[in-house]
Amino acid sequence: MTQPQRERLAAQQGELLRALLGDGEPPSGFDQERLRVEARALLNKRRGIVAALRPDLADVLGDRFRPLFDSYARAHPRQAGTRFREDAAAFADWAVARGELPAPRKQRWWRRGT
Amino acid sequence: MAALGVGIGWRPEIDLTVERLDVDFVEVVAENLHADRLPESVRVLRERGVPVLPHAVSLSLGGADPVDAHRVAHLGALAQALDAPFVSDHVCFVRAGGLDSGHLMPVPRTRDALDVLVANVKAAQADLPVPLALENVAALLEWPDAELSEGRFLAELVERTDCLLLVDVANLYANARNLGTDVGRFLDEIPLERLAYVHVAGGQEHKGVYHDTHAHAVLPEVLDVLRQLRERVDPPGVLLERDDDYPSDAELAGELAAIRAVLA
Amino acid sequence: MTTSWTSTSGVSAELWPEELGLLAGGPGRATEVAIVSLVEAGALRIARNGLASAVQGPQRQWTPLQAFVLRSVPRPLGDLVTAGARSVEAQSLRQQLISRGYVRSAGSIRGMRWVRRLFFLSWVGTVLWSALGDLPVGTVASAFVGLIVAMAITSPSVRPLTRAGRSTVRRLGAGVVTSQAVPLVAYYGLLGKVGKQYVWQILGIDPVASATLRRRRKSDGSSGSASCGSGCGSCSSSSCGSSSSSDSGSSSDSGSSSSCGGGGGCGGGGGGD
Repeated sequence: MTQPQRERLAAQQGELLRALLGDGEPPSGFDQERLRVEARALLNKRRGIVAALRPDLADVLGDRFRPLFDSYARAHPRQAGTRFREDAAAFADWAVARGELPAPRKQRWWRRGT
Repeated sequence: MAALGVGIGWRPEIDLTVERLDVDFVEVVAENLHADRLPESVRVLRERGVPVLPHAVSLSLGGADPVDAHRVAHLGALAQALDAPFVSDHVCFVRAGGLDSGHLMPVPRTRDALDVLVANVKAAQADLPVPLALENVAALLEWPDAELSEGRFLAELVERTDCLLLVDVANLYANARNLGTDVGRFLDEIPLERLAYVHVAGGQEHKGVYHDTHAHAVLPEVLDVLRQLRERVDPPGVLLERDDDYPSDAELAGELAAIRAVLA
Repeated sequence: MTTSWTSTSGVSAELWPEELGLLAGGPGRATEVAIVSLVEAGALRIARNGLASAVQGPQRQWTPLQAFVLRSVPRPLGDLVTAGARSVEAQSLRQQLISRGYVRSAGSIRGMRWVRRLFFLSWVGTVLWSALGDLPVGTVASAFVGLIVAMAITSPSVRPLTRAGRSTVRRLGAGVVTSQAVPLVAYYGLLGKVGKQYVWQILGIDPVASATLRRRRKSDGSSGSASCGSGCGSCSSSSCGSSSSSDSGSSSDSGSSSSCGGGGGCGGGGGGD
């Protein structure tokens, strides 16, 4: 019943999110500065949640956490159906793959507490 | 609408503070709770007879996709576990084009968007055991080619779905500040007799844009919007939302007292 | 070496509460002292589930370990103590106590253990020599007495605390009252027991929150005796397990990809750039 409206709305909303979260073209008719402000706010929120879920990552990366997370986030907009915890894990894997984080050592338990 | 009084958003970090503040009601973020494993603090509050209202953030009712039945079922189960008089979510979309924004995004105020929103709300209502209240969101950007004012958009939503309204005065202030929304006109256009309760929250201005952070103190300007609403209606309930950078118990109590002072 | 003492405050004038905690129970205990003193100062909250978070407020002067704790939250209480025990701040606290003569360095304890082994070996050598026949029994007997005396004299030197350290802990214990949270935690630890009650119970900490502490230790046996030295609070064995720092401790994420649950709330994330 609402199929045509849904299709038109899906196109509009999809275009906006691709521009805000990924590398999509800014949709026409919007204030371009506000698009940048919104994109930054969404990125700040996502980074803050990942930092809260994985303080260990923020600890190890220190000052590098922010720029690294931001380049990860732009290249990997969060897919619908994924959790923030998965997002945080994906970021950790990404950072390991780029050599920014040491690979997790499986047998670390015996080293702990020394 | 039964009187709720003045409440605060229950969050795990400040659970003991919320218990100490002795509020009239609380709200929980529905996605963070399981109906069969309620946090001890929420059980304590329920045993005291404090109403606990589930507030959802992920139904994406304003999205182009049909509503996710699992999310609606989760919200409904939580309402029953908490014996809540109603539940709520937002007039917004969260997901689109396979992406998740992680935030409550404004919908275009067009007839198309309203038709889809109405269909989604009706679908959710059909599966919910209690009434659904819908909240206005704070926007940093304005969709082009709006066909309705925000107040008219919400009024038509209520007319067509018979939903309740959850008016967030901080969001209204944010839109007035960032997009030029007329607060008086908004309050005149929405059906205040369908008001379930009101949200108040803090935020911060950054480079000329007001950010509804829920991590800062409530601005006097936001309380002023609450005062304008109070001049039109005695709201059944008002709830303070704080989601991060939690201040001392005394400071939260002070914010609640400031809200009570506006309502008196 | 003497430490002046004020019984009313329950705190040594010469040593800070965290230092007393370190003497009584190691760096983990010192971290517990930092945490409890922050809670007392209204700068830290511990939720029912054990999640510790900072209370937003005006900047104040904190000890290095307190500052570490505030930097490290939000984090579950048990993880926080583990992290504090391993922190550079706790290590430097220990170093200060070594240089001030309250704690023995690991090196000096190791060295003294070798000396004691040599004493013992030389006694064994004496016995073997006498067995070969050309050593008088009297010499063997006096060598034995010598060994006993040497062992007795060197015995305190292999303990983690010096005499000053041990007597400071004894005085701490003598002055502790349950109404003073900080010395109470310094002496007994959060998992310690006073009478029939655990210290965490006396302080009003939720059982679920205190369970996050138990997870990181083999037992709750750090009873505050001086023999604990600077190791027993510090998670010194594999009992530490893996700290679940990937979990914020809240029951977030119900299986849905919540748009602003899971730690983010509904707020806009601020405009910082």
